[in-house]
Amino acid sequence: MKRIFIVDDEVFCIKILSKLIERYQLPMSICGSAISGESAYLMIKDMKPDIVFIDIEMPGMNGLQLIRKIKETCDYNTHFVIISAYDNFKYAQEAMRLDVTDFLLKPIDNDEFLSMIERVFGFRFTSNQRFNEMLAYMHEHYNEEMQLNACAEMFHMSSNHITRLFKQNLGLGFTAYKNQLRIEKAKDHFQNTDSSIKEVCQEVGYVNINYFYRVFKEYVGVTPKEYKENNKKWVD
Amino acid sequence: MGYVQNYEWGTIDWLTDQTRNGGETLDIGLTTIYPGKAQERHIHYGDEQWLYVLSGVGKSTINHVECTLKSGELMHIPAGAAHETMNTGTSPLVKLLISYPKSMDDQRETHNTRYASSNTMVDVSTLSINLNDSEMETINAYSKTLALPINIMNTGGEILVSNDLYPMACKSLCQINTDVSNCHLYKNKVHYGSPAYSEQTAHYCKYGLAVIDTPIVSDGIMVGIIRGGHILTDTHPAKMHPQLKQHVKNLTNVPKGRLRIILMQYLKLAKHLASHQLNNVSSFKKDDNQGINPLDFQYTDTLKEDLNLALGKILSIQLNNHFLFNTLNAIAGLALDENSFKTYRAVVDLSKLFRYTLRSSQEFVTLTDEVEYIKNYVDLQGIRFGERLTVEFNIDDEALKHYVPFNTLQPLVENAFIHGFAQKDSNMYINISISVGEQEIELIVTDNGLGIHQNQKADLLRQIESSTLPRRGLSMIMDRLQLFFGESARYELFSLEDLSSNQNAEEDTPGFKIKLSLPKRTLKKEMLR
Repeated sequence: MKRIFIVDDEVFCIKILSKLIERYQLPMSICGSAISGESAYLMIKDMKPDIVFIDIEMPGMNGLQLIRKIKETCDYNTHFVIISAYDNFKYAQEAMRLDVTDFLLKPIDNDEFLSMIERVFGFRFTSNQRFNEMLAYMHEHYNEEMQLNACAEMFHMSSNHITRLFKQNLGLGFTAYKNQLRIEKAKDHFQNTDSSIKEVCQEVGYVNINYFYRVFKEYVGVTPKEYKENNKKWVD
Repeated sequence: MGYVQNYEWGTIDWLTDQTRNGGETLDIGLTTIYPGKAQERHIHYGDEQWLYVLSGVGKSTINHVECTLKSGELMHIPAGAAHETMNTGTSPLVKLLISYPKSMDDQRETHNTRYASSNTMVDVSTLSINLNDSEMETINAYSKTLALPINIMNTGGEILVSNDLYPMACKSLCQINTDVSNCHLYKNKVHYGSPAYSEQTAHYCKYGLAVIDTPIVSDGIMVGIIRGGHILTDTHPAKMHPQLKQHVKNLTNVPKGRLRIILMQYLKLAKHLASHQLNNVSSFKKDDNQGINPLDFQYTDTLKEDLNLALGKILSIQLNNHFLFNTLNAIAGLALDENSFKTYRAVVDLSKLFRYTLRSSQEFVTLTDEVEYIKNYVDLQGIRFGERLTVEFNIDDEALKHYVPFNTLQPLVENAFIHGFAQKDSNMYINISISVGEQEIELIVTDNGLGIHQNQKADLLRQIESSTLPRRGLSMIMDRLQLFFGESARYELFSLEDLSSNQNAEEDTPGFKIKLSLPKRTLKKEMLR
């Protein structure tokens, strides 16, 4: 369960967020809220929530100042999400500099909220709670040996039911989803490290390098070697 | 002799005009006032004048200061001073009149151009201005803000348009509403023309109300007059005409500061009307290769003023944005609180629509943005029409990254609602297709509404191609696209006949179809034409 905290001088965002969490049955709970930057600072420092939603325009310390203060004085980093009535370039720029996770405009759009959650957790939540837990497990253990039957047993669902849930919610099967997850991680490795193809292959959970080559080509369109040469961000 | 203006009280014989001495700013004339007559109290807002009495005797009042006139007397009338002159003798009172334009502010800049086009003898034929829908809209807008009479007259003194906002005093004392010539200031149809009074002037009626004349000068030629005002100007109650006193409650006694604003408003309206005239003739103006035309500056200035006005409006909207979106956020919150997800979605859609249209600085946007905007728009229309409305999108993902002018798609779709579905109560279908070709992006909007027949299509095409007919709806969209892309933006309209001869099996009933082809553009900033 992720704990979220809301800083806004009006109650409506709390209302919207709690209703959206309820509607999409997200594994989140509102652990607290504050109506000013000053009181929020102490509470956040104490509670260490997983996501903090902050309005910019507030009496006293504004939202951006609050984020800066937390980043500078607390040995703790979290996902900060701005919620603002202004889509002002200066705000957006400063928010980017502060490395906030997202910038949502008021009134909060349910679709944008869901994509934001997807970015924070790495996957899209569904209305099925057990399925969400399984997805969370897959995202955490993507590089381990993972079979549909084993997952089914672990989460007390039948294999057929899981396959159906995958098709319904994500439009692809269990294996395809697992491969997609691993290939995305592999792309990350190629971009940011100097690991060899063999190392990356093992790192993301593939035993057979030929199979890794085939799957990579199928998802990305180029071979791992070509990708590694053309997308390397890593420098000596 | 120059150009003579005849009045009931005498004449003004303008000695100077461009053909004679090429003068640019000074006007010289001979004023003759008949015995026993008086030139009524009036004000020249832009000119300062010197009067030198050549013969006769009289009395003059300048800003309430009286002085006697006799041969050899010199008088100075500052710009903006009310003055009147009376012949108290038995022979004509003749004065040399020297009129020098004094700038009230930057309004003077048009002065040097006012003789620009008259290189023949001074033309005393009646000139008039064209008034079409957009001009009428401008006049209405000014009428609302001024709340004073506005009469647009040709140079022969005939009224072309009037807003009939005369004060009660003029209606009951002079019955101006039954016939304007009941007002003695309107009775005398003076022929207005260059060079006389090309500045703003005010004339006082016998009851002491000021009637303001503002010339409309286009391309250096006076093409009309705006007559308005009918106001009391800073008049002490004791000096008020006794018959006026009963109406004083309904009359504005205008202090100097506000008078200036009123004068500016009339001047602005005159400038607008003048620039509209230029606009309408701009198609043949392009042909003369005489270098930079000073009038282009005049036009540009008016445009700049308009732009500043619009910017001001946008700024005031932006100031209120915070309030607006916070309120919408509150409504969205309440909707969810009451478990009405539909209302919540409608509020979110509406906010997005507002945000998109408030983006003022964006000329070009990606089709992704345009499509999202149009989805918000049809979602909102969906709330109104429910299941009767079906909207289908056929969008080539490849097209989405291309840039098009801001707000290209929505007016095409809105067209379906305004015209196509005007009388439709059964199923409404709209298809929006976007595809990408070798060099072009193709946008097609089809509806199953009323459609247009071949003759209506011809009318529509004529309106779009015309440079003088009022711009609205489709013709406005085309104007904008032409501005951005020139001839490389193309469009095609399909009438009912076009569609039925070439009917697709899937489409149930043909309605209207419009196809736009725009050049591909993958960068936001490119050299504009």
